[in-house]
Amino acid sequence: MNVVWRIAIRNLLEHRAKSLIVGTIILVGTFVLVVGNSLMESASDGIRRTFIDNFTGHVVLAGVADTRVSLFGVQTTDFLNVRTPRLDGFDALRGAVADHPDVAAWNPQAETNASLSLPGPDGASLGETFVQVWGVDPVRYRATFPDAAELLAGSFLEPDQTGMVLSEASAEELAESADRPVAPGDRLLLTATTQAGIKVREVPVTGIFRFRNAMPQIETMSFVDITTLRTLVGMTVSAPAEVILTDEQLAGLGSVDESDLFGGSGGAGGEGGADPLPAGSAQGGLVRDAGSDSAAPALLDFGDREETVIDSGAWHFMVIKLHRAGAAARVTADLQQVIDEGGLNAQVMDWLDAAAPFSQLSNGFRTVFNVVVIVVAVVAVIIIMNTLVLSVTERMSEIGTMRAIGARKGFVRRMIGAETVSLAFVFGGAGVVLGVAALIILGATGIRASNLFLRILFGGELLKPAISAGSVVFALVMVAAIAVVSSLYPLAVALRISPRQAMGSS
Amino acid sequence: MTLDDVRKVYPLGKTEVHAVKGVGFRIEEGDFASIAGPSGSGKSTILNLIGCIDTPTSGVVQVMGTDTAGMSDRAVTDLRHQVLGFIFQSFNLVPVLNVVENVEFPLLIGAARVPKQERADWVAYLVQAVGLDQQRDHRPAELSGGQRQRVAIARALANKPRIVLADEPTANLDSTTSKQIIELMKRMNAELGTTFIFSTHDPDIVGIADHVIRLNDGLVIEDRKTAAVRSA
Repeated sequence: MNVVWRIAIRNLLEHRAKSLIVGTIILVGTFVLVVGNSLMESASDGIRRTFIDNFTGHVVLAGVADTRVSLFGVQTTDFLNVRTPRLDGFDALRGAVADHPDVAAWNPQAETNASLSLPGPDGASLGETFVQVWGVDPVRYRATFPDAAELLAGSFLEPDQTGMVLSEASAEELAESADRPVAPGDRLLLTATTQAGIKVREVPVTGIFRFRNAMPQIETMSFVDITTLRTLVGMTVSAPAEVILTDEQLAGLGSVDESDLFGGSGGAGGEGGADPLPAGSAQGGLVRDAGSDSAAPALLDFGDREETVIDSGAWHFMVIKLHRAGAAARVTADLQQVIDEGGLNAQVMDWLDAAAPFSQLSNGFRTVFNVVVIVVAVVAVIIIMNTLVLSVTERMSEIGTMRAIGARKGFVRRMIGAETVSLAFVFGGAGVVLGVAALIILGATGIRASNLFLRILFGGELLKPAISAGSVVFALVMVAAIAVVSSLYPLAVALRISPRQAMGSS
Repeated sequence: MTLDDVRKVYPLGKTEVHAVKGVGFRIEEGDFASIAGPSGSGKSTILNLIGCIDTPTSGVVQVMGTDTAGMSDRAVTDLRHQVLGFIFQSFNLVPVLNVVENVEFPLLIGAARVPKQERADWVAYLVQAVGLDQQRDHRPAELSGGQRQRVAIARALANKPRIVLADEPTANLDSTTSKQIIELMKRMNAELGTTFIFSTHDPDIVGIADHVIRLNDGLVIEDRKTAAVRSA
């Protein structure tokens, strides 16, 4: 064995207490790095998979707003005035998406916040809660995210069906508020505030579901038919300048006089208007515009009128799932080209941006972890450095003797370096082995999220951490860096030792 | 090896200590020289100057004809490695190496590589020459003071230096062992032709030297060679 390594290893064995102090720090540090980073990566990977498989797909098309847009709406506190922007050029983008060979499935989607209330027999609210709803194309949604939701009661929306599929969490909140269970068949009032005013829509509950993999904040997301959602958020187009009516329609108009319109008990300003729409109608909801009273819909069939003014091509998002994740960059580039060429006010985003509030949360935890790692690393460097300085100081005579009998500074440098490297290799290696062993055990048993914090961190109820090669490499690089940095000052002290130190001892 | 009007001044707070005050002498190759004098007379300072461990404040120190002033750290280190051998008062062996490894150590730290077998043979010869064949695998902690100093002598000779410097080599030894050590050094001086320069304040030890340089208060008060040396 080379004399440098021979001396280094024997010195470490000779000074077991110091070696154990430094080694334990390196071992624990490596263990924490391997396990911690693997946990963070597993959690990040879990969050990524959860979102791509259940909510965002790989790529999302969205409109452009002054503030950041995500699948969960605009990131602003001024949510009364700043609305989720409409996806411009939907038809052109739909064509590009549908024809793209890398696209496995896609789903148009819109979003809004709304207040949800359960009216009693007398029309008074029995209970209220706040919900965030996605308006979806039911067929496309289920094709894109077949396993995302688990139906607990009733049925999911059918094409052209008006209704709401209520999340279990929202149903429970509403039930608690109303002090009675909420079940399919119940009719609820959705109230949304837009810049144009307050929109109220009555919808039947078609089903109650829960997401199979959802963070607490997403558990309250519910689904509503897109026509209702468009009405709520005011997704309308201008009425035609000229309307050509049939003879039958003209005859109908002729049968209505002003007194029918404004007089009588069902007139504007009256209380307790007649039931406006037949149950089971495709547009069976009740629309009330701000400033109107509850009886206003009795004047005309609002369902039919809304059909003409709601923009049937209006969506906020197009959620795209790919055959493979690696194609995301190419699909993004291709769609960006369509946007640029068409001059569309749209943007392409990846799952991270689409899931912004939650992916940011995950990144936030990672940042906190990294800060903790840095602090621990600094403390480790200081402790290791002090221990090594002490070790060098105790061996001044020995090092001075070596220098006196002809050892160059390079020899001393190699000797101190060999000691540090030996410690880092042995104890760092042990830390990696222990970390990997811990991850194997945790991977087999899984870590159950026992509280809200962990559920957010894990992206679900159970985290099964996987061994990350990147984490192992990072830990080893980190340990090597700590070893090098912490040995710099002791090395400088050792190199300053003069051969006189050998003579001095005599 | 020549010193010419060498002075060494050490700063001590706001004052100065004049350790050596204009010393000059010459030691010939093959000498068994003693630098004698009481404590504080400048013995160790002069050995440090000869060993290129310290530099003179003024004057010239020549080792094998080379003026050591202005040499780089590496050049001085190489000079110490190739030309000089050191024996210390406190033995200064590497504690984690055994006898053979300590003796071999100077052969492993230089730029020049000695073939393994040649190295092993030479180290074995030295270990046997200093009488430690039975303790070849012992570490310094397992040896007596005299045995440790024997290892130090063997180590000092490992690199086949021209000059061996010994700073009070018997200071930590009893009188019998001290005499044995000096006789061993003298034998190696005779066998290998290596110049030995050792400092001591022990009059009995001084008597064994064939060239005595006596110091007092930083000055040479006697520079004497024995008749045997003079006739040689």
